[in-house]
Amino acid sequence: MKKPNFETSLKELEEIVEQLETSDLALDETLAKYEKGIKIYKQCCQILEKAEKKINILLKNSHGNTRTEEFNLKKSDDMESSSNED
Amino acid sequence: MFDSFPDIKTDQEEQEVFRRERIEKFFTVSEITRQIRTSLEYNFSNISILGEISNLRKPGSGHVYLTLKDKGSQLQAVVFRNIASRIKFELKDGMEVISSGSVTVYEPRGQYQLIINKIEPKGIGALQLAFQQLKEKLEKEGLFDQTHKKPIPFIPQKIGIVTSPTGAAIKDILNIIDRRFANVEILLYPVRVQGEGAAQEIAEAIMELNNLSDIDVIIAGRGGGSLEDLWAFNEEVVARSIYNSRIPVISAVGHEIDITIADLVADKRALTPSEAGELVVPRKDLLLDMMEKLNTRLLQSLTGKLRLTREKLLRIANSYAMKQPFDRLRRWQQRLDEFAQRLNTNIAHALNTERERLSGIAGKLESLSPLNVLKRGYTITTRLEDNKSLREAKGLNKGDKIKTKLSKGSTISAILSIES
Repeated sequence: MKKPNFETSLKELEEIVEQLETSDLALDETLAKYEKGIKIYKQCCQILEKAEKKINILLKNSHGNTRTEEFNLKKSDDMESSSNED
Repeated sequence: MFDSFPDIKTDQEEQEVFRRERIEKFFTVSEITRQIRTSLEYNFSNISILGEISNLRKPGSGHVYLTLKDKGSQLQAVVFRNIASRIKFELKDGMEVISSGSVTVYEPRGQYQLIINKIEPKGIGALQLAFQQLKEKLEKEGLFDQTHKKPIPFIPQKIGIVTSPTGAAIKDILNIIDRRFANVEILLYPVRVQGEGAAQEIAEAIMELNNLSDIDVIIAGRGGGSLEDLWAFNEEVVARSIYNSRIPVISAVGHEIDITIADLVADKRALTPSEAGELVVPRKDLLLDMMEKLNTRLLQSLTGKLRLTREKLLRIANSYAMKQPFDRLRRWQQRLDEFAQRLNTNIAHALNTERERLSGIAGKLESLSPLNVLKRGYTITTRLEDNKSLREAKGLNKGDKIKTKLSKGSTISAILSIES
């Protein structure tokens, strides 16, 4: 499962913007870079929004079989006290 | 033979005699040993002794034998397996320890000894010493090396968390992650985080998460507590499972002040469980903001570039070089106009001058006009017969008829006389 790396994509986008702002590119180069920049921007947006929020807990039965189920934080009376750790 | 010694009795018979007479003459070895034992146990139970370990022996049985000594004496001691297995630090010859227990006698050998039920290093807590010993050992092996530590992924696909499902840590971690980057996948692997067997559970959890293909970062930790509470994270088995994990591990044990072996081996240490939440995901709102700004700059730089290009084009179009041909044309046009103008002016001027001359001449002419002469009183005389105008008297005779034209009217007369 390969995902385009967000960090490197973001860096690339920053570079393109820098280039467009500072160097004196020919018009067709400018357009090409702009297009690439937009493409990377859209990819980055996708990466940020794609994942779903999911919190699961792994449960094992006595035979060692595992299953996962949704995990909800139970309301417990002592918040900070560590001596009540199970 | 026995008949010749009628007075000698057997031990037993003799003892019977003594007992009957209530006089104890001697003990058996066992008896005296037993009594010594009872006496020692009575007088020296639950005491603590400071001494140096020497002659330490750890046979396969699990029991530990040692001699406690000081400058003047020595004392045999034993730590039975059930206690020995729970000692957190390593016993070494030369170590000064405080041993608690009871004195007894090992009867088969008539050896008095201390049965130790608790042993602690002098001057430092047992746990602290154990920590130091393990830290030194693992550091030598290279488990804490920076070069071995793996980077934490910037945006994780799936986070594995090893902690208690009801403890303080999981709450903090989940809250922070939810605030920073809510849409992320988390798998909680529940474990006990203190007590017997907790270390083993933690180590196994880390190993099992390594078997899953989609986890790319692990957080292992627990809330704050005493050194005893946190002890599981100081155990060798946990340290090794963290070191051997191909998935990067963030340790999040207790508070900033509690540093554990797990913290030293981990790829990244979070000072608190909350900090683990910060280390494991970035702030999504800041990322989106950054990207929005980049997007805007992208667009602005493009439109800017287009405008600049357009302006450049206009500048060239308006430049002298471009306009020059037009300029020349216009200049010629202007000259033409000027000439035309001058021409007009000249002509008008010339006309005027001529006109003036003309009227000058006309004036002169007019003054020379015979009519004007007549006006001045002169007359024109003509010979009546041939209408010839007369300028001189010569040729004229008395009696010739002449016509005299005056300014107004004329007369006819005859010459009376001629004068010259």
